[in-house]
Amino acid sequence: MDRRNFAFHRSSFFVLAISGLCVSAVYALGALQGASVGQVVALAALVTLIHAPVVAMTTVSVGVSGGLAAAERIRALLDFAGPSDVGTKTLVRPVASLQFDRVWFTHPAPGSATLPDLAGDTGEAATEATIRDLSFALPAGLTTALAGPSGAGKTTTALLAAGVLRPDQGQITLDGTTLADIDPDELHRIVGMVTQDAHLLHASLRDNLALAAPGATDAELVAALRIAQLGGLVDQLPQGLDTMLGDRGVRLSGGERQRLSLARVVLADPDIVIFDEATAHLDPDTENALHRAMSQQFAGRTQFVIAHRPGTIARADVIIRLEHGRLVEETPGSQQTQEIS
Amino acid sequence: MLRHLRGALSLIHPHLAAERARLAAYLSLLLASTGLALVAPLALQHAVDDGLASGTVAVALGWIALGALTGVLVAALQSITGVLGSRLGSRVTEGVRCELYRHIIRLPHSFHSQSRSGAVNSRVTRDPVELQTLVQQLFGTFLGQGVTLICAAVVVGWSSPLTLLAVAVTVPLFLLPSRYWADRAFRAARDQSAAHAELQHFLGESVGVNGSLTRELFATQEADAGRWARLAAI
Repeated sequence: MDRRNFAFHRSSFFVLAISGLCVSAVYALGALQGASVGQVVALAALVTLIHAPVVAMTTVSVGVSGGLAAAERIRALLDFAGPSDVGTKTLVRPVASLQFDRVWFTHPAPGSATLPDLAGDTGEAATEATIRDLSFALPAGLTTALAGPSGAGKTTTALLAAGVLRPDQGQITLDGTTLADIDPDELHRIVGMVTQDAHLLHASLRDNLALAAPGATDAELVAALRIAQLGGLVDQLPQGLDTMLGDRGVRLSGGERQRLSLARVVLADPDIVIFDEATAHLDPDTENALHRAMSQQFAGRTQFVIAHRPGTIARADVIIRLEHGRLVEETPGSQQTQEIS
Repeated sequence: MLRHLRGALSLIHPHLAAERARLAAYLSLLLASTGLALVAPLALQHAVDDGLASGTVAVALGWIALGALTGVLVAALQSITGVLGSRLGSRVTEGVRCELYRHIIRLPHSFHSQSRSGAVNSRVTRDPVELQTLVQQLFGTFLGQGVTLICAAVVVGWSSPLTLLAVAVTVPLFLLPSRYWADRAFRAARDQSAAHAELQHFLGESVGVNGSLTRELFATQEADAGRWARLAAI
């Protein structure tokens, strides 16, 4: 028996015992007043109608307590503020340039960005800035590679560029408009991002692709898969586009999952594309074929590529190098490649 | 407790306001069934005094029949009221769930990266159900029983003021234990919700392809079962 029910039974038993004694007393009072038998019987029944609600209202407090506690928790979450300023601006497409201007970003201290009872850990240790005074511009229509050691802040920079994270200081602009001022739907149509880990749903291949383009036809879905070097996948799967991919896309290999998320960005057709180590799970041949196909697909668009491999960096027009969240070098692609190799 | 109640009412008010017609029907039926419940004791009085005491069985049976008929009617009305109350509560649950979800998906990325997803799931799924229980009890019990109490008190006071006085003296006795248990029940309810959030969080990590793979690779079946058993016992 849980604690709430235990409390309920203890209190209701006590209250009902007193109620029985009171009903007996009413009989005695009725006799003293010289009431008729019918009146005494009716009074006894009516007194029960007074006591019963009191009993009900007191014992019901168990269920009410749960509801009141739930209301308190719900209110706390609803009052937990999101971004106060949601952008509303739209831009003239296609958008070509993305610029970081003296951007600083620090990941919130553990537990500080959520409610205490929802936090994974409640430590309040301050964290150091991940991105420090970062300024650069992605040249319109060219490919910029972001290089640097692990932990340099490359993925954070990519998430800032995609508008997933907001800078603490400084500005990130798209064709001169601050990201925070842009309508979020518009922003996500303009900037597409392929992350390191493909997030797939326990749904069909079609539904996983249609996430990026809900109105896409089967032919468009298959074409996107072909560009992402997954042209044979539909034929291999037993139910083609309707094949369920399993929990987190477990039916596919790591490389296939990654290429599926590349197919999504092809379908989304954004003006600026960010690839965050998007080909890390692929063999060199597939990676080369994929790069050729993607270069053709996104020719003339602004691309931002995060990669460790010299091969990936070699294809870039400009290379930016980060260390400890700071820009330490910005060079044309070929020069940097020679240094790395 | 009153502070908590005010907070809860402000939360459910917008969702109830959208259900005005259903709420009006529910309250009308609730009041009708409550008022009719008072007929039975009065019918019993007449059955005894006008029928049984004077030896006229037919009169007594007539009053008893009236009481029985009223009882059937009250049962029917209460049944309909229960269904309406349940639907009303469901709409509140639905409304609060939608409001919560809409809010949560607009919270910054950092909120999601720092929150245990199981705890957030519990907040969206379980807490509105608790709120539904609250709505049903507020109306069904507090309002319905409150009206019964007031009507019965009026009739008793009109028949025998001394009896009403005696009953009034005993009422505080009923409130004492609830005053003691109410705070404990509130704390227990809060603890249970936290425990449920822990369960959801654990399941979120343990069940599913990632949980399964981790378990297979590190052979944590026994450890997981033990951890689950400790959580389930809360």
